Amino acid sequence: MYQYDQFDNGLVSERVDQFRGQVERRTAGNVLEEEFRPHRLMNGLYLQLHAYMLRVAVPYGTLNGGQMRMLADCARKYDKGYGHFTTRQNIQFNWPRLDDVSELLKDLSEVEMHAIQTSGNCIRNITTDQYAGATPDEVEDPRITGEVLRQWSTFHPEFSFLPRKFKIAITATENDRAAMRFHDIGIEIVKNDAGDIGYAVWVGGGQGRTPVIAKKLNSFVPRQDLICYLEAVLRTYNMLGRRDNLYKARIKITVNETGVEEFTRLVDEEFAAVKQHAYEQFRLRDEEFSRVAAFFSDPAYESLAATSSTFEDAKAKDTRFAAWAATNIAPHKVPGYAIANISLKPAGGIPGDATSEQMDLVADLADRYSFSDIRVTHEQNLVLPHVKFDDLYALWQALDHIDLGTANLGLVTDMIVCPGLDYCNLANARSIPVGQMIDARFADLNRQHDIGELKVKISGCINACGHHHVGHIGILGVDKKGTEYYQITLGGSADENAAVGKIVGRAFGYDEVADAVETVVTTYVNGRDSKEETFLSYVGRVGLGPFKEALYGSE
Amino acid sequence: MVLNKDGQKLVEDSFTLLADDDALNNDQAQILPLARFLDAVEDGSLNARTAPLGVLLAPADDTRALVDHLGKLALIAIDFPQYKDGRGFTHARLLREQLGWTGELRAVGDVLFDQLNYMLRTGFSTFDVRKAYDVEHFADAINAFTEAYQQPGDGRITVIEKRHAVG
Ligand code: SF4
Repeated sequence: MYQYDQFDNGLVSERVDQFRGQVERRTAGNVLEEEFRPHRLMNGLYLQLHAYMLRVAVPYGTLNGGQMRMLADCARKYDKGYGHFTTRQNIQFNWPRLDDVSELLKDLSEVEMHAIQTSGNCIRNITTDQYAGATPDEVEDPRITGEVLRQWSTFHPEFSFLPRKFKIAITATENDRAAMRFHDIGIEIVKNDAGDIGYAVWVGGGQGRTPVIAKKLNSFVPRQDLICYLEAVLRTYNMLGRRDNLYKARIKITVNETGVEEFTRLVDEEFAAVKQHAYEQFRLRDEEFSRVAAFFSDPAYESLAATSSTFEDAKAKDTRFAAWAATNIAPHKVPGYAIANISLKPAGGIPGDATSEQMDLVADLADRYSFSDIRVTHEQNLVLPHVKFDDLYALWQALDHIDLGTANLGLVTDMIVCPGLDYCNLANARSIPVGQMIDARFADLNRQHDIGELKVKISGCINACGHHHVGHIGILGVDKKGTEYYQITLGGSADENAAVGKIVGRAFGYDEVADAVETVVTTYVNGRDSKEETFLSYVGRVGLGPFKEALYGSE
Repeated sequence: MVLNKDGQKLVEDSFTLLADDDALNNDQAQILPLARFLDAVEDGSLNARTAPLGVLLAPADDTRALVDHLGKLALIAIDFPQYKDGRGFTHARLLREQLGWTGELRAVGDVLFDQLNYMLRTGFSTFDVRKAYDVEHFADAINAFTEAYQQPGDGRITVIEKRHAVG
């Protein structure tokens, strides 16, 4: 993975000093909370319902064992012994004290980590495919471009006070695991007919109160022009984006209000101007791309047979392991290796939470089995991307021991659930307890496996941090005269077949949600052609009719 | 108080910002809001000008409206009515990078202490700093970061260039 040089290190440690100064000025009363706010936000420090919350960046979702161990340490030292992995592939600490934050940031800087631009109206941590570098279906490792763009966007002086936050995702395969079409900018790494690698750029996607699927603005930006093109998009947005209304400030609204054609024309015009005047400064140089790429070259894989009898035997004798292997591993580009997913959704747990002990163990296992490489997924799970089939059983046993071996990846209990009313200032309704009720309802793992792939996503308000719009089943908490209600949507999807879920009918009360989800699932299971027809394809085929019928009858 | 990059006070600064109902005075150093400046160019009321002239860009103004008028100006001021509104950074950069403005570029309005480094880097050369604390600690803020990954306006050598410098 990428390693800092003296320049990267210098910038991060100057940032730690700067933040320390800001905290001191705030504490000494030289700065009002209102003036301190933008800086604490730019350093990922939020004021939550009960305490400060610090969001630490995990650039493109990649960590090594040492970094994971440091996160475990920080959770022990500055928090209550756990951390929360987020849908931005980041990690949050929910209970740090303001006085401790500078120290925490300093600790993180020792392992080349920071909280830069994890909040505020700037370019946020850039996310990508959690299988990057390991999956057989990619054009190239998207983390190289991710790191190049991390540097470009870090302390970008023109684009740090945008109309609103700005999120970029990168994918290098048609099988979009990064929800690229629901980002302010989605970048797809593509190869053209001439065999050159470049970028298709999608703009204006997003969730929140107005879910929008991004539009493709340019189908091939040559590699050396990528930064110039992004500068043009960001500048057009900075000047045009609305600042009068918080809810209309995202680029998706700018694109809609300006019209895609006009917006594209403006971007193209600016792109030409940038190239004319500033090409030398912003050209993505081959030598820099190669320098970064070298950090992401393949680890020292062994040459192995494609099949492993150790693995097959283990599956045959241990059905729990066989269940895990059926859902939690994905194909690797190298024979004899697999991508192993670690579910952070154990029965009864809080999705995305991991204790210090669990983080330490994952770090050890990554060192032992996966070249010290760990990924955080936007679905709030972890990945060990390069595990030998021969080692999978030993790995799973170690994980299982500490409640990390749940065989539910992509199944109904692998939910995304936002913090909701239990933690969040903006919430209308509880999310976590609703998730737990659904979790309990579908506790039978055999049944989950029989239902098959099903993504349930829950948000406690219209801000959609729980990604409910793109849930196969989406659940949105609303407030009706002081009572929590939940609206159910069906058919959403964040992948290459991007779709926004449709509302099925009137909302359900807190106590009715689990029943409603059960009814939806039963309707699907009874109606599907065969097990091959997934929930999503079933909804695509039959529409909402049978679900409405089952949920509301002749109401 | 208007400071230059090195934190020195501009002693010779005599510019006054023209409010809406102030009269244009061709013998006084004045800063005109963009619309008023363009009108004055149009109706010839600047023809007899002897004193230096500045123009003020508000966030929503079109930077490129100045393209044919740079020769008439001694100063361009960019207003930050609220620190959150980052359009001033784009104005600055366009002026330096695309319009080729080499004269004084001044940040005015809500010039936030911790934005000074970004202002410097997008090409500002003078800064209207109000608070005593900010004046005293100006150097810390403007030089908060030694290096930069990008070079949008101040001509510095970037980290990327340093990495690949020959020799
Ligand atoms: S969706 Fe709403 S309730 Fe949930 S975390 Fe986001 S803002 Fe808070």
